[in-house]
Amino acid sequence: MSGSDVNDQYVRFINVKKSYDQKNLVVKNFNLDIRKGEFVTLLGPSGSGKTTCLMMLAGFEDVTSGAIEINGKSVQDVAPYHRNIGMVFQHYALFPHMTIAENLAYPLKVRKLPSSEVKQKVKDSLALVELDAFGGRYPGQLSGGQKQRVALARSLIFEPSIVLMDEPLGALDKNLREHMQYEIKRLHEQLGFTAIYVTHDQTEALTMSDRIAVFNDGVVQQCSHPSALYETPANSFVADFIGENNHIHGTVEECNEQTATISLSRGDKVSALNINCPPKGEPCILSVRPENLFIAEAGREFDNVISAEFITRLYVGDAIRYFFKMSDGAELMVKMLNDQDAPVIEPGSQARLTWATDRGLALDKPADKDSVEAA
Amino acid sequence: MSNPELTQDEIKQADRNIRRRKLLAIFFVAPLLLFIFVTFVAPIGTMLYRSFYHPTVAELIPDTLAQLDDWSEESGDLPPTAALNAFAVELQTLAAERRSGKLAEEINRAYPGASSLIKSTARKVRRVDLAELQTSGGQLVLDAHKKWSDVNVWRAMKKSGSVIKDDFYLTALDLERNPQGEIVQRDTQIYLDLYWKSLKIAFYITALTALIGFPLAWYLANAPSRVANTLMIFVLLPFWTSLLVRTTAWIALLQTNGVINSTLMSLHIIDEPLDLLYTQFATVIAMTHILMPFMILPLYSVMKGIDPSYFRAALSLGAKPIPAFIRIYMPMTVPGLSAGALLVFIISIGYYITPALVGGTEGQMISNIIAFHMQSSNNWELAAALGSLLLLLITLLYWLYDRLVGISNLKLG
Repeated sequence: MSGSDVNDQYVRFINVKKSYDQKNLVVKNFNLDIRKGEFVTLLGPSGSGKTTCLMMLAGFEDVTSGAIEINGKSVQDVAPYHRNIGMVFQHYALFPHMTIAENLAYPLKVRKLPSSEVKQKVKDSLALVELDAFGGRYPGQLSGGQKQRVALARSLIFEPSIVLMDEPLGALDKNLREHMQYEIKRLHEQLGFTAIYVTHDQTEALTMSDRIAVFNDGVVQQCSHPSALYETPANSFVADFIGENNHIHGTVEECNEQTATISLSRGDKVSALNINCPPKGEPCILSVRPENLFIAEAGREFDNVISAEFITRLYVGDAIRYFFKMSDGAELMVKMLNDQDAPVIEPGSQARLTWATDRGLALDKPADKDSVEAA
Repeated sequence: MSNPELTQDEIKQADRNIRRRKLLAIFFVAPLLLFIFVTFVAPIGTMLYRSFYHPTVAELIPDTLAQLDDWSEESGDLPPTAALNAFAVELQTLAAERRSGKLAEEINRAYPGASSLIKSTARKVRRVDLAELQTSGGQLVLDAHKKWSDVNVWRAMKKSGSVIKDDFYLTALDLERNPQGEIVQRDTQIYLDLYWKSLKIAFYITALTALIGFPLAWYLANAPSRVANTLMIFVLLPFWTSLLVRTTAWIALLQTNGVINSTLMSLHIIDEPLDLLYTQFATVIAMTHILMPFMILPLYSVMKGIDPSYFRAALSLGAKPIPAFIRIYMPMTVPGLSAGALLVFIISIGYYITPALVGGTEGQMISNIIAFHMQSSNNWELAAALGSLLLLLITLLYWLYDRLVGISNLKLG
């Protein structure tokens, strides 16, 4: 990262730590640089410290140690109402006693804009989120998706350079959520603000973000582009948290720069890419995505083959999930498109599972909690 | 899916089910309904009835009143002899039954001085022969006292004799009928002043509880639950102590040699004790203390339900904390504030014990005068009229509140 360019370090978290009781750290040494106009998602299970980071940036929580900078200036002593950061809350936080238009006008009125300008901006803003006719209604008369659009419009109307979103789609149902993801993305591209988005939904993070910071236990496990996170996760937590995954326990037999050879419990030797492989002789995890694992009987065969017992299959519609059990008890899943190649297997029968070396990842043991900073 | 309509039998069955459920519901509610009727609806109904239906005089001297019906009171003449004779006969009967005192008391309200007049005359006619009374009893009565020749006595008697009357309401509103039968103001305003004072005191108490209760409720709603729970016990503590104990504690605090006065004097802030007890101030301060939980609890429950993100949203939109609090947070507390205010106001306007104990004459409220008429002056009808007017006043205020704030905006807990 080129440190001199201020646009590349528009928002900076520098060694940020946060503790509520001076004993337990909620956020442990958080470092992140965000480019101007970038869409960054903080992704992690609940309680991992991602919302706390957002609240510290917004100014609602103070930083226990470290610094947060916006545009090269520390925001430590700037009150939340002077930070000029737009914020979208999970439960919308639309003021229930004001109409939609009044809600939108509120940030402009506190900035003492002339009323004609306020009117025009409210009108434009309603048009932006396609709610032109709803200005006179109260939030209680709107559906969840409409409320969310108003909340979004309100956080944008005073033209903040940064917009924070704290699980904004958490309260919506699945279809609406997908539509709103698209809507947020559209506004981001149209207006070019810097967005920091918090979610625990990995699909949402993958579809929307330029970069994703995966949180666990107060630590960023990996911060990278969605494809990098999915295809080359830095450790088993990331591999597990993003998408579905098969875990195979093994011991490192040999490893070089590119690949690692792993011996499995029954003595099979398989190879995989060396992503984060422990040294020779150590236990490790081999991770293969369900869509990269194939049933040899269905026609294709790759470098690595193991045998497993078929248990059952789950019909999902566009895909079929096949469940297998290895002799040491570990379960494996194969995801296949529901086309004419999808095989029918007798439950209890042995099948051969196969994958290509460059689709298997050799990772650390999950107990290993070393933080990996990729960005 | 051939026939989407219900058959007759199915409809009957459904009706039966609904009826059975309704019966069951009534069965569950019945004891409470009965209880409410016996202890609440019936007494209030009786009270309302009593405030205008007053048959006592009509029962005491029915014949006289029947005779007086033909007499025109505006003429200025005395009633006909037949009426006077009938009165003499009935007075004798009442005297023999020792009920003439009751009549004296009743007529005295309409004609001050009639009490001794009737009692002394009753003593005189008691021993007279019945036959003589029937023929010349009227003359005997007129001779007994010169006041009997005053037409107004008879007017008062005729007026008292009517069963349905508005006199008590007129009295309760400081009005009266002059001899011409027109409604005029009384010289002294007693009850209207008292109503006005009760309203004022109730308003002070409501304002004080809101002023003190609002910040406390806010703190309770935002404090960590351990602190909030401990403090909540202190808020509720007054509920668990006897009302009398709390009121007498205020007497101990406020009296001339009480805690407040002796402390202030020992600190040389004042030279002689202040008159704190038996004032309006004492009523207001003691009732504010007693009614505080009624303000804090609804406020607390409403504030507890306000998502802190509203306030944060206002800050993030650029509002400074105080304007954000006033413009965003306060309007959301209106349901709790208005529920608390309504509770405190309505409870305090009819409060009895505390003003009676610490209010003295200055701190009396309308309920104290109602109690006085119930217990001391034995004028239940006036008490009933005063009570009915109080009920009307509260209903009016409630209606006004509904118009201004809206009952649907109310949140009690």
